[in-house]
Amino acid sequence: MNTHLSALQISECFIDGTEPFVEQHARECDDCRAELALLEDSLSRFRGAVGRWSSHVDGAEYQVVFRSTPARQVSGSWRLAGVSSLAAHAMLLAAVFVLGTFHPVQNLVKQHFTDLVIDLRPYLAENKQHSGGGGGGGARQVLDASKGKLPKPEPRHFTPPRVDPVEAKLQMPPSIFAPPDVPNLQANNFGDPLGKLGIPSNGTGLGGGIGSGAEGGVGPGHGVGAGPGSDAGFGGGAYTAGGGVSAPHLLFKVEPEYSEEARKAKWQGTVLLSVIVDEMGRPNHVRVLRSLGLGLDQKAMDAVSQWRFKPGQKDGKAVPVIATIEVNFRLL
Amino acid sequence: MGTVVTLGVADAGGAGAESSVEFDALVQAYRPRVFRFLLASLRDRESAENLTQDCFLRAYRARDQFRGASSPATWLMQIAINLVRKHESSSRLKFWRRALHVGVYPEDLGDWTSDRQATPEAAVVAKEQVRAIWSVVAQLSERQRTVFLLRFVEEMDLLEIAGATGMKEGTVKTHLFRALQSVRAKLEVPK
Repeated sequence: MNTHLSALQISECFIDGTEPFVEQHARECDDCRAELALLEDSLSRFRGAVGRWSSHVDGAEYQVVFRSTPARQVSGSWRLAGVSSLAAHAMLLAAVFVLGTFHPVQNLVKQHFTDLVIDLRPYLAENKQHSGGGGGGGARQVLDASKGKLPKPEPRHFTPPRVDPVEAKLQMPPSIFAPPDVPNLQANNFGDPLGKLGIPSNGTGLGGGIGSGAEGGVGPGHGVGAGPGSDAGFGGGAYTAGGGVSAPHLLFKVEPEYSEEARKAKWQGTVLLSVIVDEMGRPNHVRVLRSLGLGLDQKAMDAVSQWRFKPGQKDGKAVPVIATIEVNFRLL
Repeated sequence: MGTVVTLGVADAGGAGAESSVEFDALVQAYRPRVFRFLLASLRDRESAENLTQDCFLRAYRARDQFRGASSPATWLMQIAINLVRKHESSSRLKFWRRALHVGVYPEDLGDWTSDRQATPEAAVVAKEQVRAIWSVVAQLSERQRTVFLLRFVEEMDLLEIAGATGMKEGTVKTHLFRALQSVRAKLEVPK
């Protein structure tokens, strides 16, 4: 046996098992035996090393457990969960509300939140030109009212002013019903600020007061205020809605009748009326702004005079307010 | 102890309980082998762990398709080999793999040789042999390495290897022969 095993033959031993011929040769030939032994030793050591490494790495620091656990079953029903969640939230909300009814809690809240309600009135645009009023008076004297200062504005009106003070034991200082910021002038005697300097006179008006108007105020108007308007206040006319003054609200309405002439003439249209709704909600000073004729104006004024309003308000108080009312006359 | 990672797999139906028990047994029996092969192939513990998990997850999902034509070991190895191929060809990991090879210290398999050697010289020789084979295996092509590891570490026979790799028996033989030649060449150098 001179020839040693070929590389293929040696490999065959490891790959596919040893053949009898190779086995026999290995027994006889030392070189080949050594070669095979070396290879076999090396490979088995390699195998052992890999195995040790693997088991060490696998077991030492990590223990990876592969477990095919079934997915967790959802216990209970979705509906039940939803209902109970809703109930829990409702109870929580109810608890908050119940707590809120106790006074200590309310006081505590008030201490922490002082301005719960914001007063918006100072920020409302004031319509200064139109929110006025007026007054007038007089003592049926020959001369026009003389110049003087206005009486002190008061929220209530008792005594009409006079140019010549009344001799009395207990004097009630005269006043007008007007806002406190009425423009005034400096003078020793009362009078109409727009009057002429001259002989003191209470004016040609009637009902007490000063001026050419009526009802105990100062000026050419009607009422206990000052100025050319009516009812009270200062300026020209009653309050108009807007600028802090709310509009009157119709509560009771009477339908106007048709006049006989208008029905015959088949006359129809709109009468425009101006009324002053006073503090009691009654329409006063009904005037025709746009006439229709044929007796319809009078019918409209008659009807509107019976209407009742919720009065317009300024700063929470009922005030006279001018309102414009359209009365439609239509023949069906 | 270390971290216990539990992988939960949702069972579709009631029949899952029985099959999952069976599968548990399968995992218990074959996990070390699969992990060893993957570790030797990839030389990276993390990747081996991940791919082992992947391997059994795939096996679990495809357990209905396993008809028992081959042994479970072959079937699992087949999956593992496919995973290794995919892992190797994944361009995303190429950079990191290169970094690892260049990197700090490659795993020295020589440290894991058995200590029960007769003499210190023998121990050194054994260590050198293991290192030699380890370095050769690193240089083998992917196919040769797979075949080599399956044959000499997992001790599978040719038919099983052929089944697991999808190669013909002759092809397996050729790859094994070449791998062995490389190992022999390396081992004979010190002579």
